[in-house]
Amino acid sequence: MIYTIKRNDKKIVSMMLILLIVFTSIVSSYEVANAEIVTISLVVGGLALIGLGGLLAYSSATNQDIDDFGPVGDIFSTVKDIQTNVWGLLKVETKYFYYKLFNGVESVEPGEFSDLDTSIKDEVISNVNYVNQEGYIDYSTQIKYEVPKIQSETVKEFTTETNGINFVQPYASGSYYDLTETSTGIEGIIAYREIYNGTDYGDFNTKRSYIDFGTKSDSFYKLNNVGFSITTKSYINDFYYKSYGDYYYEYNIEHTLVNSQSEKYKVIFNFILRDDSADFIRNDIDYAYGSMKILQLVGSEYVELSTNGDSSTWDDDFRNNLGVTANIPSFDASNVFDYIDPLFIGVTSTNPSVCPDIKAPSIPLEPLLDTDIDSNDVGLYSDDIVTGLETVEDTFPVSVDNDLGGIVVEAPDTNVGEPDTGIDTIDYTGVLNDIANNTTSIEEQLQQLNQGTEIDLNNYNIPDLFKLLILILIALLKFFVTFVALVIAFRGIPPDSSLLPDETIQVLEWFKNTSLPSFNMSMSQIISYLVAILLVFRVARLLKRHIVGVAENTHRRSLKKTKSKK
Amino acid sequence: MDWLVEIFDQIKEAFILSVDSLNSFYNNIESQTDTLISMTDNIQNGTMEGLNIVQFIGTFRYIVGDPIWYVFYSLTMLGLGYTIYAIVVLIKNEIPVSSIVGNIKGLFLK
Repeated sequence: MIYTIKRNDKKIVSMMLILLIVFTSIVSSYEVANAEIVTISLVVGGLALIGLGGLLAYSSATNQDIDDFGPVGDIFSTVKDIQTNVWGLLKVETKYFYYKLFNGVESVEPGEFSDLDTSIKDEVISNVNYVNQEGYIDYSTQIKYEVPKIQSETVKEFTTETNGINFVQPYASGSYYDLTETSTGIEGIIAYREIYNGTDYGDFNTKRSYIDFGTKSDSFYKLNNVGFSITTKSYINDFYYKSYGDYYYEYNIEHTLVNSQSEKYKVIFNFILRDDSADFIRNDIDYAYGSMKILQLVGSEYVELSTNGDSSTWDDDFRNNLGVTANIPSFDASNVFDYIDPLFIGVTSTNPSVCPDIKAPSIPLEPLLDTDIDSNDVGLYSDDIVTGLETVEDTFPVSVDNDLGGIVVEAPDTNVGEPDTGIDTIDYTGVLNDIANNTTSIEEQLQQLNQGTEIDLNNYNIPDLFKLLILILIALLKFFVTFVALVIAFRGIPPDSSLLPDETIQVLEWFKNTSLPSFNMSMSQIISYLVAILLVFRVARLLKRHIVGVAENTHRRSLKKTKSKK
Repeated sequence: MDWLVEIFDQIKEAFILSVDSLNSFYNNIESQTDTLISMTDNIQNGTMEGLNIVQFIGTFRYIVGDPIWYVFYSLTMLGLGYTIYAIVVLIKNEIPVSSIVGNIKGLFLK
């Protein structure tokens, strides 16, 4: 099957839906409005329908973009934008309830909302963030700043399915992860820099950041913008979303940090990529290789970008389209600090357009453990950060120009020409100590949040009550459905003799296995069939008596009513 | 005006307590649902260990044989379905759906 996409298809469908709604509204208002007004509205609406229908037909026949049709196209675009935004929000809410009802995975595809306005996108993002929290309260809003715990000994290099984890970003700096490969998948913490310029969310060339799990073509786990935010999902075409937009992952808490340069970082705690998700993605990609074309928008038409079947070509094309210019090829588990420096000490470029891939120097820093924490050490951050309740803007990040009296090392090399970072020396000691100092407090906070204890009850709002009531209704429905599923599953319970003593089992087995010559059945089977038949007859008689009784009662009531009327 | 502040404080406290209780109720439902889901998964995976109910049902099936087991199971499903039907009918009789719809309809269509 070859799947092709035409832009006008969507527009025609959207417009027809709008017209249908308008027409239905006019017709339904006939009961309450003045007949003359309705008649005029119907005439005007009919003419509009005819005109737009002809326009759509002409657009479809000539494959011309309807946006190019002057003022009519402008009106159409406006209406379409409204419809798209409303529909996008509805889809988010629908998926939210689906998620809560069936406890399924989040599957909102960022590409679905690529046409949304910026303000609507922010709304969608807030909704999505809300969805992803356990319970009904967005706990993440109570944590203003978090620092992930650094445990270098837990970092492993993935070699079974993947060839390392790569943070593929145009600006490869500012990424950190602490992931382990478990029996069920990949788990840990991810922090990465969210890349985009300005507020234009529509141009994928200005914003691209995704995490590439593995380099093998058959296990190409690509999690675009792992933070489940839709803003940095790159846009190529709908096919891209279909093949790479579906991924299953879980996480507990996501938080966005903004530094003084207005650069966003996302920190994800308890990230879990399950194996079945990887299989899903892999299967989806296999499907894409074999049966779908890669399309690229050239002018107003989509053209085939490459042929199928060659995974390497596909990967190259994909990467070229994204314009990936920087790639950390592998991860050296021996020096975890290589990946945390720009994120947590606020290293920023003076020229974002040539933001370099800044790495920490290869100095022999010892991995910082809990036992190394000096509680009296005062780091770069203020004590307010430890409470986790201060605003990010007030405290993060600090200037790297501060002289802390620690180890001063030379600035790292850069791999993108010779950019001017404006930073000559970087002091790591105080920063790392401070991160470690903050760790315990934040861990406690997270534990409290996860356990649902000691939450400030004053944070409840009136809408929370209604949300909670809806969630309870959904939970009850889900409980009921689950219970029915359990009862249905009872049918498949196999016979089990583990609870019976051996002597009993021997006797029963003798009854079951000893066949009677005349009947060619065992004694156990004969008894079982006879009792089953007797039970069915008995129940049938009871049901018959019950049904007859109900019918007689109904008949008596109807007779009484008839007599009383007379 | 302290009495007024106190009244509002009490109202607020009652609201918070009610939301907290509902939250606990919701968590309990979710917990029980998870238990049922895990039981269902265990049954489908053939894991009997630690599931007394499943082991009991398995033992019952072992003793009585498949014919009686299927009759019992069918009767259970019939009873469950009839109970659901009775609950739905009860709710339908208790909630005047037609009058509510009529009232709403009357707001717009006169």
